[in-house]
Amino acid sequence: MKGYLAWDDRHLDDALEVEFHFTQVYQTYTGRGLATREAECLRVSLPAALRPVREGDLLFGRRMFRPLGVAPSYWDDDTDGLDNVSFYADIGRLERVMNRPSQTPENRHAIQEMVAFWRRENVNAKVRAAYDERMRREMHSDLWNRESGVIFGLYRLVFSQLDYDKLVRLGLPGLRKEVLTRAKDPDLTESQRDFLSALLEIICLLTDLVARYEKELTALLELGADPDWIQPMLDSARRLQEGAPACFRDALQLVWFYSALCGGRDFGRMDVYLGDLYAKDLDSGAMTEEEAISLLLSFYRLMKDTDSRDGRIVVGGVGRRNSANADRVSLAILKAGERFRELKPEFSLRIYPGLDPQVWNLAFRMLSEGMTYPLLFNDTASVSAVRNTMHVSLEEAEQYGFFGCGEYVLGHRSMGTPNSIINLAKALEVTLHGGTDPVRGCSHGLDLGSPESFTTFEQLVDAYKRQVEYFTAMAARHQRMVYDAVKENSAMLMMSLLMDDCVLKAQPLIPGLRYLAGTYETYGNTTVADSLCAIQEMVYRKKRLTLPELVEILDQDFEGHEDLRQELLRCPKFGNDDHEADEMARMVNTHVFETTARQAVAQGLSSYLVVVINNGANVDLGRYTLATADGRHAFTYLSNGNNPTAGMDCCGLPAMLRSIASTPMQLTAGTAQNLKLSRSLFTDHPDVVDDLVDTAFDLGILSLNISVMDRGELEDAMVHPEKYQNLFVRVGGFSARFVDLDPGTQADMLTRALY
Amino acid sequence: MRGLIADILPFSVSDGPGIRTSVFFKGCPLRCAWCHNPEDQLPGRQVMVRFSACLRCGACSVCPGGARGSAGEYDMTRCTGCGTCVSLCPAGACRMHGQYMDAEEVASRVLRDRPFFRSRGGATLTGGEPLSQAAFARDVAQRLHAEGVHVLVETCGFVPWEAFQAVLPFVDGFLYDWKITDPQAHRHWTGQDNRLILNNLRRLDREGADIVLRCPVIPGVNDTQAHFRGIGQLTEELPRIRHVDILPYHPLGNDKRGQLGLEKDGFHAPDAADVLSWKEQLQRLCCVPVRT
Repeated sequence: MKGYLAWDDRHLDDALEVEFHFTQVYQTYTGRGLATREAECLRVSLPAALRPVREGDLLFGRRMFRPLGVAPSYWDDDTDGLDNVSFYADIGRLERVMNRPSQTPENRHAIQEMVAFWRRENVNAKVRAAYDERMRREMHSDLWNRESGVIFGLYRLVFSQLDYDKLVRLGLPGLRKEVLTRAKDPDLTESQRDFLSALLEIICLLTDLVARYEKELTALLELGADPDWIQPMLDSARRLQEGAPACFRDALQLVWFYSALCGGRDFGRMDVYLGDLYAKDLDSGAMTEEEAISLLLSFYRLMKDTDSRDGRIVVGGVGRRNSANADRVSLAILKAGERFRELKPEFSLRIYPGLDPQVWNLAFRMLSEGMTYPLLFNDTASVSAVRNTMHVSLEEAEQYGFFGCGEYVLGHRSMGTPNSIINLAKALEVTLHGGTDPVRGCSHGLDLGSPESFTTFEQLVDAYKRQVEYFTAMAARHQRMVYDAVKENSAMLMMSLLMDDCVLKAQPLIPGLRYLAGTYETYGNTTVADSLCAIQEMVYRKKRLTLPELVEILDQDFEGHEDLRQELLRCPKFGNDDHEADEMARMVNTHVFETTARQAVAQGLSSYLVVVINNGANVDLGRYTLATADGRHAFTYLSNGNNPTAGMDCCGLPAMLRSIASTPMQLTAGTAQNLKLSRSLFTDHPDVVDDLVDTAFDLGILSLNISVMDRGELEDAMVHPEKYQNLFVRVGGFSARFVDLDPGTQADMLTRALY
Repeated sequence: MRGLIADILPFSVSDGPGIRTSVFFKGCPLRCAWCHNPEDQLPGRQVMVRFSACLRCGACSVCPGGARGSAGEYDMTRCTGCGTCVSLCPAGACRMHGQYMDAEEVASRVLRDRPFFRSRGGATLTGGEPLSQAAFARDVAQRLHAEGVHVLVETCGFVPWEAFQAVLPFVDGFLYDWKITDPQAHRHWTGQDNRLILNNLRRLDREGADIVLRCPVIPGVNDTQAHFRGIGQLTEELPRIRHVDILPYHPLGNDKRGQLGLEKDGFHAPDAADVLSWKEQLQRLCCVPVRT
């Protein structure tokens, strides 16, 4: 999958004039204040990133990403999606331009020098340069999707939710006024003054760029473009230079424009910041719902064309100052999403007792139509979890948002992008191999003894825990180093302007941000729990084989030992409401969650938490993980999110949900739960879906990612029955596990109603 | 009290309102030719073999009854249900169907799912024929009823009236099967006459029980005007029938017949147009809603 879609190397001229200019400005201003340098760099990169409106655009502000720039995160396509933080350099793109046949030798040489400079100077490289020898050894690569290892670093500030409510209330002139007022404080230090001056420069730059669109749109109009299309955009461009958004369109326009230029990807509580102007426009007759939906569709298209991931929009929940208006605009936001039918934006619905039934009904319809959105959040449990793990007041916890796959963040108050990945199954693997990674064949992690030395199960578990603690401390250290490198190299001006309390403290994002939190992603949690269960049962209780024998069989991927694999598969598994398996999962999870939380103090973070999410990393990391004792074959997928391993839950939905509810989710910054339901359940038994969601939330499950099973999945179940142990087919009193049926019957079932 | 349970399946949504947990009792007095749960007919534990999962490893060839050959051959008629093969089969292809459980254990298993029942759902005792183990069914129903769980019984009705009497105080409603109106045809296709079934249905109605009439419709067997008229008349006669549910034949029981070493039942599934036509015909003849 490609990352930033808005750029294409063909748009880059051979001379790379913008990049040379950017580099020159960067070099010239180095040593003259970080904020000033950044503002000067943005004055080069942002104007060059903007593109003209395209036919059908109802909002201006298309942007591309240049190979050099400063952003919360730049997704490097050459590595299939590794993030770059702060001052980034896309070396691959620069080199492709350098190597063009049309390139002159002089230019080629000059680009080579520029590349050499940015190889050292990009902030990712600076983080790595600060690694000590141990971190260099253990975090040997950042290519988590292409290399074997327990831990991989990520570099990003992405997913923070800016204060778009403030942006909409104040507009660019209002922001300017706020900063000017702050700048009058006679007690400010010189660096504080520099920072505020740089913010003013940025606001000025943004206003100029809006003016540029005003000119461009005026020219289009003169060239005969349809005034019904152009004029409203033009009017908006004029108004936004003069004051705060006066209507829904202005608000949407300004939010898009700001987020596109900042490089933000998440839109937070959109219902709150759009609600009042939406209600005003509708009530005054200035706009219809259909016109609002058209504008939102244009917003979504820009989002899709600019960046290929995330883009989360949150609606619903407690703590909204304008819940009636917010619910009204929520309907338009979701209706536009229903019509858009793309993977983005990622809608999330915070479900709480006061939720407008119309909003829920619409969400229900979207899910029943096979969209996997909105993601449903248990508001009460989430507020409580955020309050406890992030150590904030109830009022602040109510302003939680989420990003990515559903990780919590405090809207415009905290930063908490996951900045490392830990493969827990690999941590167990290196523990069983005396501190070596058998896939790479080199030393990795702690040598805590050979398999022979673990004479009791408790000894093995202790060793595994120590291994995880070792890597967790490293992950926290990496998180801190990323923040430090950002702090030492940039002010992140556009983020600072809309994040608490940077303007108030007159300090850049780091350290000005109210809560500098941190998170990292763990994978294979359930794989480890199920594996430990199987080891306990087969090695230490039944003494069916010794641990060294088991390790050898795992190294050979069960070759010649299919019978043993079948026995391992039959050992207790998480997801079946089995006390032993669930307790093991609880132990594995509690350990890693608590170990992680303890790192916050050491690294000076407001909190440091695990997220257990369900992107595709469980598949990528599984590709470099040997067979595991739960019966999983080598190099196949690990467990996903906080779910049972696919195919291992076979006691029905209530049992699965009870198992999930038994894990200490409230100690994390987010856990993802998948629920696959059939379409017929939505169409024939809508009340059952309501009951199911209510019950899952009563059990304390924090979020539900519901997907509707279709014919394609049943066909897949025929090919890969092992993944579908929990798929029951029901017709009246008839009931069977789909995978227990013979292929002919399964084919027949494909034409029938299932749930 | 102990009884023989075939299975307990949570998240059942077609055997009554809301989210339910269905308790399948093993053993049934009828032998309906189209039965979709043939493994629940016999009142004893049975081995089922999923032949498609068999590894042909021969582990089960030690079968004391001689039902297993050395390379995946089976003679199910010689199976005594001792379960030796089940314990030895590495692939889990041999499975023991049915287990004896205490009523307390069954109730406690159902109660685990109680959070999901909410205001609509509950437990459905089905099978097999739950009232063939009336005292056991009563024990289970009583325990659930005492916990405030909504309890339904799905029954073929071919049991002594005393069986109904036993459970009536603890049951919120019945899913009552009505298969064929003509008594002789009923005997032919199910092995038993329908007079007892009809008498029980009438008495149940008089007792004021809540009844949903469940009518399996098998093409070539009971998709007749005469039977449909019979169903219609019942709804006229018996005011406690709340709905008529059509259960169109489906061939899924054949798969399980294969796992029991039985031949296929030989019926053909109706298409959607047939089912719609049945529904329309029945709706004209019945004075209560007809559902499919």
